[in-house]
Amino acid sequence: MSDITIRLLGASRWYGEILGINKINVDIPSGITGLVGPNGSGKSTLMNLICGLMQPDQGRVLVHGEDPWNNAELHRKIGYCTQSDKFFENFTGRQFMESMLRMHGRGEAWARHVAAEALDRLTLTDAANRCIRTYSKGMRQRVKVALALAHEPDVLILDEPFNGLDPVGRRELIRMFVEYGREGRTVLVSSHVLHEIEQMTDRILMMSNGYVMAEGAVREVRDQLRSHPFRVLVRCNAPRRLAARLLQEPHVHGAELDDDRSVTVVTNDPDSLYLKLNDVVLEEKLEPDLVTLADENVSSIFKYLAGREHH
Amino acid sequence: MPVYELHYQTYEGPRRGAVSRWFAIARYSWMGLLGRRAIVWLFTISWLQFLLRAALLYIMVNKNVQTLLAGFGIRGLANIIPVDAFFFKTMIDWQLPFCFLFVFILGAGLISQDLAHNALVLFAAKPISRWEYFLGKFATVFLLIMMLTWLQTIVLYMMQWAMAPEGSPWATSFWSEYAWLIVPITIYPALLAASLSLLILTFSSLTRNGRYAGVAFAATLIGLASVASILKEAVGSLGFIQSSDWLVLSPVILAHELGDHLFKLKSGLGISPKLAWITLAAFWVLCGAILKIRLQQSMSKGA
Repeated sequence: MSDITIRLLGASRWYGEILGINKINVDIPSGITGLVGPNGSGKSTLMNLICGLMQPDQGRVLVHGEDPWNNAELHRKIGYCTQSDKFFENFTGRQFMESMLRMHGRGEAWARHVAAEALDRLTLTDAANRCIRTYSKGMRQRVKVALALAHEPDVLILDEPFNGLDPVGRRELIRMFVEYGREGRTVLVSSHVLHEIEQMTDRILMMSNGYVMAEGAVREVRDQLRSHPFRVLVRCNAPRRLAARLLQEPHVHGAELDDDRSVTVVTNDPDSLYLKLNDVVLEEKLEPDLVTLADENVSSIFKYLAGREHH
Repeated sequence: MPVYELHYQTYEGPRRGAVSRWFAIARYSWMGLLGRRAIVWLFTISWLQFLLRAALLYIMVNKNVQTLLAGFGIRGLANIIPVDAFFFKTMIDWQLPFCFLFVFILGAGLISQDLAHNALVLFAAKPISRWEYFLGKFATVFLLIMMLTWLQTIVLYMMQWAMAPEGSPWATSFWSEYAWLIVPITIYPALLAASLSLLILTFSSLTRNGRYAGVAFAATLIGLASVASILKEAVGSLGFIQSSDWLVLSPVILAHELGDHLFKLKSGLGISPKLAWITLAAFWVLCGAILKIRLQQSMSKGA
């Protein structure tokens, strides 16, 4: 039996004259695959095609050997966590989950049960009866993930699931996804942060400008990035204190205070920076609400990599 | 080769309840609506006419109550109002302002909010088809209007039949005189509900702002009624078109006319029933086509 769950065969998709993805040939096996790329690289398009939310203009997309487009039966096996998080504002987390799960056609009792279970797994039980409009960014993120995995899908497609989560929340989700991958499910997770992907899997797909630029072990790709400086933006309640602590690290080359709530840190070892950041946040009792690559996305990395490839 | 701990099992059994899948959309839309106190009040008020008519029907057949009221000088209630086709048609017509209000409040945001919040992908990623998504949204408005019109009217009809005293026309000649009323009592509200649902969903699918959809809906109903009246007066007869035929351009007049036709009431407007039915069918086809295009466009855009 083949281990390949998702197969893209020369799949291309345009948005008018703008290229979404171009002639992608890729096989995604069971386990976790990280999808990395800057904004506009085609990550979400690829995920939409796999989830059957759109059709390829050319080529084919197969999930478990079937075309996912308008395939309600196949959607029972797919869990999708979209990037968008503004919906059903007047619903409570529980109502939102139950209403969406009712569409699986497995009855009200089942929907109620699995919704409660998933909310509990994502530590949202206490907030389950609160309206979604009162949720923080991190809670919205978690309720989306809860919806994606509540029905025990075989294929989990997660579009930037770590956005807006604090370090503890990220760690929890990573642990959960790793567990899912170990169970033999197919988990495709996109992220801007290589470090997060590396904690989950060794296998990545790197996309840029609609193409798959690199495919394989994350370590090999990361090693190529060692000499490239990164700028990481951290927004928290005490950026000056954070900067002072981080500047003591040998891999941190500089820190710029942007305003009284954010600091941009320059490093050539983002993995170590992220680990150190977690420690500093806990030790200094900081309240970070954003940690992201300051180059708006990881386009600098990809430009760098792409440049090396072209030369 | 990787080794996995296969201790989960994806459910692959049959999906139950085709209706319950898309009905969940309607159900949770209502839940959102009923969370607003003003709406609950409006919904309660919308049952007033029913209660008054039910009380009237009860008084008209109950001799004890009539005797009691006669003590207060209120007499001649037995035949205060004839319970016939006109009674039931006006019952439905007088509910229309509530229907418009609810359609305006509930329907305008049904699709536009999903568009605004990019929530269509959530539905598209669930095991329901695009058709089922439409059915869910359609049922939200359709069933609400049916509750305000058909349900109330049919209950009155049943009450009248059940309470009819021996020897009264409703008891002696029910099958020949009144049984047929169940057809227009069902079809007329269904036509109204389907038309209003299609119209509001069409506008809702055209914008990301529910308010615009609501305003466009109201403007269309009012505007077309004005245009139809102006054309009738200003243009009048034109070739094979009679001056009264222009009135079918107004959905409100059209519905009223079809109601009269179904209830076998005399229409004062002189519109040909055939023309009215053709116009209604064309209106549905137009709304259906716009909705199909918009939903296909929006649901295939992805996240």
